Amino acid sequence: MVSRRMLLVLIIIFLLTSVYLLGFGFLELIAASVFSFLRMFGAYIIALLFSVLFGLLMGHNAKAFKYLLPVMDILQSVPILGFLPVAVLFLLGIPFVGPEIATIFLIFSCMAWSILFNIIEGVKTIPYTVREVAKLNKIDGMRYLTNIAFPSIYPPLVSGSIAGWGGGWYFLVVGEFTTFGGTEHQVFGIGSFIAQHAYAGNIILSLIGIFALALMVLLMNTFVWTVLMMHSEKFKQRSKADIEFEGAIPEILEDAGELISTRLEKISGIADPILKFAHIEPESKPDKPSYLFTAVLIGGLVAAMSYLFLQEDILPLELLSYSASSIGRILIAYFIALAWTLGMGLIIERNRWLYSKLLPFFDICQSIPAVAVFPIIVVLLIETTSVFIGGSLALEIASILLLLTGMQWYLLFNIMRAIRHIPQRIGELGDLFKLSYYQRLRHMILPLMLPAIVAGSIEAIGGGWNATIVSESIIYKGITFSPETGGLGYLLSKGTALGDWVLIGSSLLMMVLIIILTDKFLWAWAVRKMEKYSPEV
Amino acid sequence: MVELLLKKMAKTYVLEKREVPVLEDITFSVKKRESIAVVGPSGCGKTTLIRIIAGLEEPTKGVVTLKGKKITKPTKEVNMIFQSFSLLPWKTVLENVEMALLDKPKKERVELAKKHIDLVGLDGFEESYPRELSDGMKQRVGVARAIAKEPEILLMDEPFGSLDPLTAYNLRKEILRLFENKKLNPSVIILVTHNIEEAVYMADRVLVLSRRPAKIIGDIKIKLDKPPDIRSKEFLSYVDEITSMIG
Repeated sequence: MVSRRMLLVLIIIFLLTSVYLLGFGFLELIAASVFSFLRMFGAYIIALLFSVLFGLLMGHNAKAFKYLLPVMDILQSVPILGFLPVAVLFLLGIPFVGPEIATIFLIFSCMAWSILFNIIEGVKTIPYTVREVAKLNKIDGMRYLTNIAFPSIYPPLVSGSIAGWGGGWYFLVVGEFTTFGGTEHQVFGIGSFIAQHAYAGNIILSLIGIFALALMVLLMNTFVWTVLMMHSEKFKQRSKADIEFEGAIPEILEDAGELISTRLEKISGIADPILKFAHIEPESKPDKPSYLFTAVLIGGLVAAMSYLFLQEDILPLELLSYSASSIGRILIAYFIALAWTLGMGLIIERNRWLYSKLLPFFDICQSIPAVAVFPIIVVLLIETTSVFIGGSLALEIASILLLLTGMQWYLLFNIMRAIRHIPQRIGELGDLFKLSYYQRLRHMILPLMLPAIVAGSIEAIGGGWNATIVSESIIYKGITFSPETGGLGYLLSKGTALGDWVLIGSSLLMMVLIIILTDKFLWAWAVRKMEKYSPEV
Repeated sequence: MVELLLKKMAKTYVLEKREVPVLEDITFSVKKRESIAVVGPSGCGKTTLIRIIAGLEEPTKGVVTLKGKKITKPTKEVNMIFQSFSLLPWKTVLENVEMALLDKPKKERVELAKKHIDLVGLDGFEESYPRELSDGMKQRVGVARAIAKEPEILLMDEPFGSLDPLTAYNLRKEILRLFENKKLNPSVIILVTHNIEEAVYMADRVLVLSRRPAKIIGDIKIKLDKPPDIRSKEFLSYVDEITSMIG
């Protein structure tokens, strides 16, 4: 964690440099930051309401779980730009507030899923005997919600919110500054500040914007999320005894919670029958998502895609080769990321001192949303590599490197977390049996890290697909550069820019299809395999 | 006077379209002020039996009646203690016990909860959180919550299973002491355990179940003073007798 003193130093550096470089433009920067924050906050509130509503329903109601889960699962795998056409079609046209609402909707679509799925998981982990206690003592309806369900979903809600905000910050730049149908849509904020200056070739200003953005993320992490994470320990079934739960934010939250609870219990006369009807009650009836329905949904996607092929000039073959080049690029970036993060992890595992020194640095790196750095990497890459390597290969390399920035952190942070949790006694066991370092690596350290590597890989590949959209169509000084081999992200960006629904539809469907198939087969299999490597044993 | 009556009760689960009979032909009655222990091989359906008495599950065949009234869902006359304590970590001891009394107005609720916290010897810990208590104290909170509504029947599912031997010993004595008070509820205790010494120590009557599908293969009256001397010959011969029945 970044210490508060370090944060203060960063703030001072930021203030001094930005005032020096921007003069009165500094005020614009602050205003842009505030606007972006408010936008994020608005989107978060909507995502929260959405997730709590559907999370409680899907966590309790077997039927809702069975049929809504496949739908949410597919929506979750749609990359953010996939929601852009919806935003444009339905929201942009609203007079005056259209662009604002469209942006908030896009940010919402980045935030909602991790919160939703965490809440469902939270409901499912309410212990069976706690549910029995509720049934024995007639704690049902609103009373069940306020006394048992809400407190139980609080910890997963906090961790889901952290991931959601991370996603939101990540795509803030895209959300605030997009091109659709040949016209630029932008709203005033830090994201558009960064993009605008970068695309105009004004790198210093863009960097200052990124710095401001990173600072906001760091401030949020230090003063909100860390505090809430610790506070939420109190609401876990196995809560640790030695954690401080007090503080201004926890107190305000607990008071607010109490107030809301008493208000909610007052309307239990109206609410209880509704909750009973929706099966939101202590009784849990476990059910699996409907395979048939999932198959029908995926079949529908395939049918829709085939229909699009009949429409126009895009050939299935072209789509397949574009898919292949996107997959290839993601895989190359993935293996580069895996190699360096795993190597780094193993070095740090042997050297705990280095770990404690590097942690704040990683924290700062993680708080810089990769998409925001894209424009700057673009400049460096295009201007330097093209001199040495020549155009087309340089673009290929640039594209892979950009993907890397959207993927590697997931692996790094999962691996770091795993290293922190390698039990001390494993080392002692190794000493006891006089194992060589290679033997320890092979039989202890790597197996213990494997679940984290899988978890990181899932997130990294997911992040990679999201990043294809920005990495395969690089805008610099008003010109769009794309690798010659194309890609699904390239196609989607092109379709979005032209407002071509056939391009958008077919590339999006293809991407969603690949993501779902990877999830359902590769990742489901890998996660099942990982169960035996749990360090709990 | 008969309190609780189980007549030709049977339970069959359906697992992946296969019928698994768990309990078969269970018939017994329990009188007021009786304490019963149910023992049997692990996985034989002891827990299912008391969950049916609690009204958490319905029997497939036969009936369970309490003072002539059929039990089909949880009632305020029956409550239960769990092996896993099952306290809410975000609520204080007092609030946890209050959970059993939510249908009562706040003032009465707090009074009743405090009274039962005193009864289990936890006065002074009302404002503590479960994480600050030892396992033995946590289970005392579980006991206080279960008896807060003054149920006539107190069910216990391996209540001492996660406690260390000394703590378990003390809590057993404590529960016997609570049960000694003839004026207070609960007036019936039904304890499920795999510990035969515990069964003989706590109960006036030990029901021995067979392997699945479980039937009652023994109904043994324990004629010992409460609490019994665990080193006495009589105590040990009861233990031997029951152990040999389970095999």
